[in-house]
Amino acid sequence: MDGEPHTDEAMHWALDLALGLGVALNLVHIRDPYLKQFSTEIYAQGREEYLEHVQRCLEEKAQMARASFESAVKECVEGRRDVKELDWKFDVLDGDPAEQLAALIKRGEYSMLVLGRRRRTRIAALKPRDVAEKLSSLRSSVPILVVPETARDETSTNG
Amino acid sequence: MTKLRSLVVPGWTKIIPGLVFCIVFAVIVMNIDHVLGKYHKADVASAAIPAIEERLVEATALGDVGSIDSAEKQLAKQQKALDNVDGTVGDAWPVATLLYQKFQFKYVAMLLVGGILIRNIFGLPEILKPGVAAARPLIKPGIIILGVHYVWSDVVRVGGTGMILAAVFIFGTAITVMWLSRKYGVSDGLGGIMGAGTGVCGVSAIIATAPVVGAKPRDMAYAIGTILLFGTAMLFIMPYLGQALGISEPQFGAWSALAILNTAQLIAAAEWYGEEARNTAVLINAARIMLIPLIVVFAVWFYGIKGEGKGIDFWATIRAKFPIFILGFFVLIILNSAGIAFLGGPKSAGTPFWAMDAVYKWFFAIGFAGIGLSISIEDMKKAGGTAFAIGSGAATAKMVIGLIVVLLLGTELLRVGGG
Repeated sequence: MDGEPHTDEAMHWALDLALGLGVALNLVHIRDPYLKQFSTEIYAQGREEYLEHVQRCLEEKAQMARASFESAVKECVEGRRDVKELDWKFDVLDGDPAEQLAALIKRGEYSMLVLGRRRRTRIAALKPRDVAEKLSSLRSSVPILVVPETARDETSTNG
Repeated sequence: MTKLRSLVVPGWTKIIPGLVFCIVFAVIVMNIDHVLGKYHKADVASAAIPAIEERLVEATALGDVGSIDSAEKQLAKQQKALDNVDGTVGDAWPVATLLYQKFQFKYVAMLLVGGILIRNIFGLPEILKPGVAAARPLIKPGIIILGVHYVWSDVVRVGGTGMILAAVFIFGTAITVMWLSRKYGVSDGLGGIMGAGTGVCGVSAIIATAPVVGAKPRDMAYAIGTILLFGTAMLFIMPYLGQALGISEPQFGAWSALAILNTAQLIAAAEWYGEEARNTAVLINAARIMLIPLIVVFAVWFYGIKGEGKGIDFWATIRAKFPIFILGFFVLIILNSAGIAFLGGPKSAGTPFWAMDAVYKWFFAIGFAGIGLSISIEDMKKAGGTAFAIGSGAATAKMVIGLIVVLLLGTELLRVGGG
């Protein structure tokens, strides 16, 4: 999860599932260092400052993700009479999101993976495969629940 | 000892495999380029020799000493080109001419296209990535060495014209992009990096500006993807467009320096187009990159950015963002202009400047290998959102206006004489 609407929706689905089934929930935020590679651009000036800025942004986003998750857990637990608490964990990993999640799946420590998926426009075919697509193509015994960006709104509208 | 240790880049061993790969790739391509060029020259010579011989016979009959001398020199040159491939008059190598002249398949194109194909079809192993990234800045020493091609009159005429054009284009683009971004509610971070990126020198300007304007990671990814997409597209479109429009080499050099969004791509496009194009582009680009610190300061002023309690230090920002390596380029121009006999010149065989000129192409070749191998279609696919709209508008406008301007200026004002 990274504070984007689609990952927020996935987080709420994961919370509902974990509370409903009474299982532990592990939230993962991945700090993608993708932007750091551009510091080697040939005429780049202030490389250190740029790298520090990117790192600061990644750390802030991780903190925001954690705060958002804690508040969602509190809200969900308080909103349900049948549950008093939730066994949860928040992990921050570094690396390519698809690779990191694939490694988690391979370890086989989880009974299910819940992922958000950003709404795709018509030119989506030109875009790279997203994390959900990449992980869906993996051979794995862990079921993957992909939550589309609008799912939560539609669910609430449909009652 | 500690001082010595501080000179060693941490993790330098990681760059060795990728750097060696780039060097090997460059050596292979430079040899293919050499062989292709040799057969192309022989093909041209094989067709030209009968006509020169006819002229020689006519000049001998007329007793025109000047024409005889000129024809003999031409004949000797063409015969040498033919001898280089052990050919005789009547032999033909049309494929070499087709590739080398018609398709302009020279070392720049081979390294860039080859690099892009290797990176995007076979992928680049992780072990090679640090070295490939380290190979790209090797263009810098190549640019410094190119200083031996210029004298101060070039700097004043072409560089002066280029500085005015660059300043107008850079600030024109940056002001327009930042103003429109603010008007249409684009965040300061994205407006700032797109203004600098489309105005000055693409990703390098984004790197310099992003921390100052506080750009968000997602905006940076969109902006970098957009700049790389348009820079790469223009790199491959503009040389062919220039040829189709019959633009002279100095005009093309100026056009690429004004219009191509990313610096690496503009040097590559100009080098690809020809020596005169490269000379003009490098000089105007030198003027352009010196404006990076000013554009950062402009962004700070435009968005009213304040530092943490103490304000932004104008001179500290200028110092931090100034591309110091470009001073080396100007030092060589000064030395070349001074006419020191010992140093010679790029065309005086056996002199220090001749030796330096002989190696610049190798720095460029290794740098271009790194650039080609770094062009990832996946990175360009990240282009999107508002950044894409801004980038496409700025790229098109700069290309069209830049073309009109260089056509109006003509060739001579933009030609580097080199003394």
